[in-house]
Amino acid sequence: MTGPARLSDPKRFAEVVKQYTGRLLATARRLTDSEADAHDCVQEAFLLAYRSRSQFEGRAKISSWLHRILVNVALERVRKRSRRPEEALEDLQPTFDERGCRVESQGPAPAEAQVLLERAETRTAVRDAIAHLPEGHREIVLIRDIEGKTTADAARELSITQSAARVRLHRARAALKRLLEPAMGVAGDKEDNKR
Amino acid sequence: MMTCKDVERFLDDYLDGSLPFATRIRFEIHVRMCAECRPYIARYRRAIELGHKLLAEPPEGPASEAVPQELIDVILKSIDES
Ligand SMILES: [Zn+2]
Repeated sequence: MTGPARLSDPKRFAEVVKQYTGRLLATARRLTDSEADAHDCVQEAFLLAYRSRSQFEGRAKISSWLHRILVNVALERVRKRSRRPEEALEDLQPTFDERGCRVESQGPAPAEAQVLLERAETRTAVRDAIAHLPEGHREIVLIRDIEGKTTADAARELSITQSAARVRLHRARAALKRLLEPAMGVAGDKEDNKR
Repeated sequence: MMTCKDVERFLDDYLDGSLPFATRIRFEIHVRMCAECRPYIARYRRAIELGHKLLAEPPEGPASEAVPQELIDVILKSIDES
């Protein structure tokens, strides 16, 4: 049974719902603050998937397609609920002195990602930081770093040149690094503390 | 000798493993000697890993969590009504 055939009629789609609700719910629980929110996200993701099922390309796995929709739904909810503005990436880029030497906060080496993510505060910080990137930067982080695709894939999907994709990715990653430093135990400078 | 600014410019290609050999060696020599670039790169990598580990699709496997039947029912109902 091919992907599109499974999704074209409601009965097939119902099977997809039964098959993938558990997986999506597990992810939604990591990305929301309550069980009710997790349920709402999964429901909204399936509804969106159902409405756009004609756009599903048989080349992708159904699970990956649904996962992407769910992540976008969860991040969208974060943005709608918070009053935090979109991040100004300009202010989050690394700085260098006139000789091209880096100015970097000192601090201990960060713990392993798995260990850091055991704390709910860290999971929230990571989710919120990605949610508040400007749209084009968020998209490229999702394609490159979350889905693990190449820069060429990302450029094609976003209809931008590869060099634009590279610049965008680097700025987004540098910003995330700065935004997540408190979660890694790196003390910010005075200006950071005002943020 | 590369500067920290050069390291910044080459960083993503370095992480992708796509730097030409000679550039990679110069990159690594700088990083080994630079007390600023080492923590920078460690944090940069960690930020990427944090995003990936939190948001990537979980590996396939038997569903370990019980799926509430009410949730499936609500979803099917909302699709029916849409
Ligand atoms: Zn350096």
